[in-house]
Amino acid sequence: MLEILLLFTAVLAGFLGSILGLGGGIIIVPVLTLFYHVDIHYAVAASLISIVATSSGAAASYLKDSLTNLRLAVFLEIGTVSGAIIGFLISSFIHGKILFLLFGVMLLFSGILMLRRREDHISSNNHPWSESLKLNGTFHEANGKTIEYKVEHIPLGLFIMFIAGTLSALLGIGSGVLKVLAMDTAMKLPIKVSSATSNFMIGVTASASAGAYLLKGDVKPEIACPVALGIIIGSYFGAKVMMRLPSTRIRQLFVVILTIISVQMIIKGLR
Amino acid sequence: MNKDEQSIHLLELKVSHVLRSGVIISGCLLCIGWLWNLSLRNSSIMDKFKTYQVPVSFYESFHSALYTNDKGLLLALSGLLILVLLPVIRVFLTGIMFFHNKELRLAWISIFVFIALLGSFFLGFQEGPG
Repeated sequence: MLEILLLFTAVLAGFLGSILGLGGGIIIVPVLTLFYHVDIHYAVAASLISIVATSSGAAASYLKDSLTNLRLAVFLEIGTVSGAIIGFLISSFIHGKILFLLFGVMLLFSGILMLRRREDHISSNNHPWSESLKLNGTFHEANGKTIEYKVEHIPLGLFIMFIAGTLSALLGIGSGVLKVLAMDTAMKLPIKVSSATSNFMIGVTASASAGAYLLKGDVKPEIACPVALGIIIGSYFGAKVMMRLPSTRIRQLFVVILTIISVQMIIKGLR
Repeated sequence: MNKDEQSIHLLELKVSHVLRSGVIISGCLLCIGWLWNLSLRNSSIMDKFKTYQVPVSFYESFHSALYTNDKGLLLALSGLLILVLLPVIRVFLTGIMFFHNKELRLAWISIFVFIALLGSFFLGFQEGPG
């Protein structure tokens, strides 16, 4: 039966998403729409459910090493949750073809960002908002050294978070790529802190639109159950295997695959 | 990290462990509910989802599952509802923790995010046909 096959496909999507650090959503939506021919609105809703599941399950591991800046995460959730609400509201008015185009472009953008060399920043300038809310922080390196960092350009970061939330609700993705971009490039946070804080925030962003889609009736248990279960299993094993893989080579290989999928999504949007 | 921040961090870690248990419970409900309904079907129903249909709201689906005693659907819907509520509960508890540590501005920000999350759920309820 197709549903059983869908479960195994979701395991694979979760596994790949975890290895690539992109999450399962960016893989499962194209798979559901291009191979299973599921309507993109149902695919997006099912994907968001799986994002909530993986992110909530992994939240403890993001907090364990003290890299997550909890105060900053709470503050930036204002942007992502507001964006997700707007994304949900406009999703009813956006034609499936536009969603395919948007998804294709987002996929291409994620592929390009995966190849970029992330520059590590330790900012010494604190934005006034960061000063007042004490959003700056410290973390410990593997060698025991304590690193202190400050937070710059918070309004710009908040704006990018808003866009990330909107795209998350529209496309059924975690938007981790955009969140990391906001924290790395705009707010000048250290790489480790921005990755951990972004991962921690993904579940809250996704739950805003996942809850809305669920109550509206767009989450179909026949699709969402195998997808969520598969992605939970796949990402669990992906996280275990990730440490032992030569990540750069794998990323380069998958950028090619992401590019092919993104072109297919764009073509479907243009037809 | 000072003492107050450390205590918030530790409490948040505890909350996250509770969330993980919540994911396991909802995962079990999803799994049992899905397999239950799958075992009652002879053919795939994936074709039904090729085009977007007028949605049947969560409330209506739940109500009709109760009425028809569709245990599989009831379990799956309960699992989905628990799952989407987990981050909302986390945000609420984070707000309480900030209040407890007298970090009033961050506490109110958390409560704002919590209300926004509830608001988004309400919008879904409003947009549903039921």
